[in-house]
Amino acid sequence: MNKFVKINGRKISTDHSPYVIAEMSANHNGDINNAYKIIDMAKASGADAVKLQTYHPDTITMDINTPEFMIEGGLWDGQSLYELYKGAFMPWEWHQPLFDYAKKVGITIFSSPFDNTAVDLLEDLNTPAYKIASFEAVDLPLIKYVAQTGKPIIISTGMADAEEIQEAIEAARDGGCKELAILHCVSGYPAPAGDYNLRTLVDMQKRFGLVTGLSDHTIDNTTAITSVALGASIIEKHVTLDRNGGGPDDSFSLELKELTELCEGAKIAWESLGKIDYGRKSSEQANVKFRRSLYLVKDIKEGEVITAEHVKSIRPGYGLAPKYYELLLGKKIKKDAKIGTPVCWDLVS
Amino acid sequence: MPIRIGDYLVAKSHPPFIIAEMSCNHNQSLDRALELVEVAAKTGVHEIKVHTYTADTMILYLSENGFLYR
Repeated sequence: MNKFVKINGRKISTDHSPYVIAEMSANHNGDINNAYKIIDMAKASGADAVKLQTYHPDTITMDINTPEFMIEGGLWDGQSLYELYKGAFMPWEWHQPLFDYAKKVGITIFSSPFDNTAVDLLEDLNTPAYKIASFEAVDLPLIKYVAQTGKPIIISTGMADAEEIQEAIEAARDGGCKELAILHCVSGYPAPAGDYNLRTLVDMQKRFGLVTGLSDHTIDNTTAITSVALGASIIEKHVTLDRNGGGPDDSFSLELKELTELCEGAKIAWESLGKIDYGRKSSEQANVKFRRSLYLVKDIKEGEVITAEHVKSIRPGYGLAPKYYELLLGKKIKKDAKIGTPVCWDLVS
Repeated sequence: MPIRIGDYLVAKSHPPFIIAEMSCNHNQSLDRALELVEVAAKTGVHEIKVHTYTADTMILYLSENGFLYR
């Protein structure tokens, strides 16, 4: 199993700062200028990549209004699947200009293909990686087709049980995928933090031995930043220019300020993890001399017996450690010494 | 092993116990200290902690042998 994934030369693993993917989804709201601005925003925030979705309503569903094609409840209540995707999809002719623009801006761009023709388009654009969305993680023929490109693949695992995740991984392997990552995900829009059960991330790493990350659909950054502590190497989050923009995904997406906080927070969380280390840190070095130690708090003459009247644990730390206090009581002093003298073994007979 | 502090059980199975450390941020004003207690209570922290010492319980009043802060 691969211990890291490399996208456009950037290594992704727990040994590297978390890789943040800004998911544009439908937040362009049908205007390519919004899409350009989202790419700018992702770059400004410090995110590592922008992700698109490559589908057409006809590559994802059919234009049928029978009950099973209708959405009930949630953000998109009352729409048919076809209507939802018709209103949300990104025109395919945008891909080339957006890929060109991202290159110019200096940020990685890739996409989630929802069928084989989308994969063909993205191959023509020389995409550096592929994402498989949670809803497509059970589409094993699609995963296999993507894997045949030889590019790194990131698979979201929302709604998938352990067996389905294993099947998706095997499909990718069968297709020839060498660099695979999986994202823990809850496919609720938005999803409550309590549904995330982030401890699953630890088990996923152990069970599947792959680069693991989080696709976060909660409305703030706490869950994503916490996931870094449990070994997430990738964080994917929906982003938008304006949360009140009225688009189908706007309401649970991050704006520039929050996305910047996510990138910074994830990096700080990763830096703070470090390694197991009880040793003294460089930021503590100067304070060691102000720890407590044993001092003479009264003048004492050669041959006198040391009592509680003479010795006290105080700051600073030049004397013997306070753990020797009881050992010192009752011992004789070797030579005259003044108040304020740090106690050392040479003073004691 | 869980511990109990006041009304709170402190353990992995409970939300983290949050302590607001006043340290010397009272700037030696009792009013300021009382205000800090109020502010802390409003934020939802579980405990406010103060330091209990006088200069004499911690150091000697000397300006030699390492008693000067450098």
